[in-house]
Amino acid sequence: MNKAFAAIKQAAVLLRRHPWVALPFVILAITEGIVLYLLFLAPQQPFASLLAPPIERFYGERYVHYPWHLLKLPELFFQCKMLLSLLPGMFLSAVLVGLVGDIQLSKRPTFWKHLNTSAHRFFTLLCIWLLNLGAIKLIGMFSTQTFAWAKAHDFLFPAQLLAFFLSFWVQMLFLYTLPLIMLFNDSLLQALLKNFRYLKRLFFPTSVCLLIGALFYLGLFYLELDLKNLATRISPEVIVVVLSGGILMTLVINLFVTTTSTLLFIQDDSTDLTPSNITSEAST
Amino acid sequence: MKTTIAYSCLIWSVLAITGCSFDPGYEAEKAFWEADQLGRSLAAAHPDGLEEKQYLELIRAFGQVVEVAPAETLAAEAQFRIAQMYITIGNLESAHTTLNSIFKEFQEDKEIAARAAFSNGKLYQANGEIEPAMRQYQAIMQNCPLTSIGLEMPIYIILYYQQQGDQDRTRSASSQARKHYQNLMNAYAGTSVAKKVRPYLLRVFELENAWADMLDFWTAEIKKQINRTDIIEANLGKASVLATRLDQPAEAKEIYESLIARFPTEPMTALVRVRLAYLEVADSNWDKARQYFSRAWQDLPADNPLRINSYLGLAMIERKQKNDRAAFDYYDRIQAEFPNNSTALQVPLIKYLHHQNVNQPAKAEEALQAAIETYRSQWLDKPSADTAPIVGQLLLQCLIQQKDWSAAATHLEVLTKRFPEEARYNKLFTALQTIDPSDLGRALQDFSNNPQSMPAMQPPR
Repeated sequence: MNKAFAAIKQAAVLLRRHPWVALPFVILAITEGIVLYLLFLAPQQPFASLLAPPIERFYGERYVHYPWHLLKLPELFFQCKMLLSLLPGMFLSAVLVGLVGDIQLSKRPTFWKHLNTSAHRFFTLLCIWLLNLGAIKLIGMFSTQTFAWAKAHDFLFPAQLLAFFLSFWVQMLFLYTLPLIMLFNDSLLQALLKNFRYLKRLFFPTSVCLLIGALFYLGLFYLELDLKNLATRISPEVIVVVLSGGILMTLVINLFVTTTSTLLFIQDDSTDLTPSNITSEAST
Repeated sequence: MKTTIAYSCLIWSVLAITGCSFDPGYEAEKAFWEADQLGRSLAAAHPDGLEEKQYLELIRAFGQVVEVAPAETLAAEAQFRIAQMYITIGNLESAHTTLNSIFKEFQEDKEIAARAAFSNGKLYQANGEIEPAMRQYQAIMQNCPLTSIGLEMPIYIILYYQQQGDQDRTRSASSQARKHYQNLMNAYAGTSVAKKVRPYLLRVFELENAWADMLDFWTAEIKKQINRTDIIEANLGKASVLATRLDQPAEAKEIYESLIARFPTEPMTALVRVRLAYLEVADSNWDKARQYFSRAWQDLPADNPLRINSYLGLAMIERKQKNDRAAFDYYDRIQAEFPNNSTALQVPLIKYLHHQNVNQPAKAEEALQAAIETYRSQWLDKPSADTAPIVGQLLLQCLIQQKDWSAAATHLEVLTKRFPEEARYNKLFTALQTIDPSDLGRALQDFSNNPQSMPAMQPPR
């Protein structure tokens, strides 16, 4: 517990002293904002010429009309977010890990160099992303099965809450692969094996950090659950407001979780940050 | 700097939420939905009906659609709703003005313009103002002649005067209709439009019982046509008039035979053979009829529903010749080849009715039981949206035939819930609630025997 709170405190200090560290996730949040805005404008000209046909093709004609397209927006945005989490999401997360590593090693942080490193490790990062995606899909499948049962037993909300926390917690599975790849230039297999060793040692503090992140999002999650009713009661545009809030909240949580987990990793006893062990890019 | 960023963020957020777009179609959809929602909430708040001030509030809401996007189709739809609401509150003047404005503003979209003028005309007509109503109808014929309403308009006028018993005006309307359709056919000669107009002109002939004129029309068409399909179609039309209207089957047969001789392998010749076969049946020429029917279904592709007519014709011949087994074989073929066709679905009931007609009570009872079992299992198997109404109705009819009144009444209740839009079921079900239980059987039988409430399920003759 102390380890977790120490890491959180350190992360707060680090982000206050070096706010530009947040740049990768700010870029990601801006990209997500633009995508959300484009999806919102999809049924309107001039965007409709380009964006409406695929929506019409995959979801049906009604979803390019008001207010149905707004009701479909969460699903559409989720699909886009999944893609954005790979490109540029995965690279930007890797860059942030690199930047935190630089600061901890008292080196001059360089955004482009880390971006270059992450580009060189594209396939390794892609594999990690796919593993993460698989884990999230598994939780999704489990949720679908559970929700059907829970609905029949008047147990839906607790089941949804459980699925929500589980979806946060599952991100932990491959969390330490990123610092291993970015700071130690480990191969995929090495990174995966070492990741589980780190996970075993840092299971509790990492879980605490992720739980705090999940608690941050809880309010918005509650709104998202009943988004359609909320839209009917207030206005369909409220969906855009909630999704925009989600982008901001994701920015804060991602920043918090990635920074604290990187700090936990660096400060772990088994992490040897002597220059001979770390990647040439990180040491220079 | 910070203030600038804060203001930029604020402006961006406002633009994002409001759409930052000036797409009138989208704006119209939004305004229409909002007005619709208002209507729903007002209706929920006032279950006993809305008052004038609430209608005026709704009219203002739908008026927003016209304001934000006057040229959009939804603006016309909003104005139709406005006109309807003006009618409801008794402000006919404003309703006429609104409908007139749609007619003028949507001249580019002829279907909408025609709908507006027709609604306006009907409104005048409902209030006994025939002259202005006719002016609206004439405007449709002049400005939107090729719309669905425009094409129907001359016939509508004839039927109106016919209903009024005004023979002079009926004649004048018929003459005008003939000229109108003829002009359209001349103006669009050789195009698909002329073919689209043709059935309307034929309907005018039919309304006037002008069979000789219809015959002349087809004769003229035969002379005009240049491709095979058109020639066959025109000859079929002529022969049909001769056989069914002028009682000259010999001349009709001659036409059919000459068509078969000229075009023995054309796809449409199968239809010619079926028609000729029915004429031969009428003359009791069984062998010739059988030959034409057999050749027709052999020539037809497996999925062509005309095969059903051939099988029905062949079954009819076998039944006339007291060869029930062969007749039933043809019914079974219909079931096997077209399981979801309405005729195929009727086969179990047809078999029962046949046994009953030829006075075979034991076989009839057995066939009825089999029919009920078949329909019940089809009904429980959740039939498709197309077949469900037919299966449901057939099961009801069989239960009535079996005189199982309580099962019939229970099934009727199920039908009422499953097809709430079917007025005849609702009407009967409501009636059954009020009558004496001993009259239940009679009421159900009356319902079954009334061709208006239930199509007669007699075997084809």
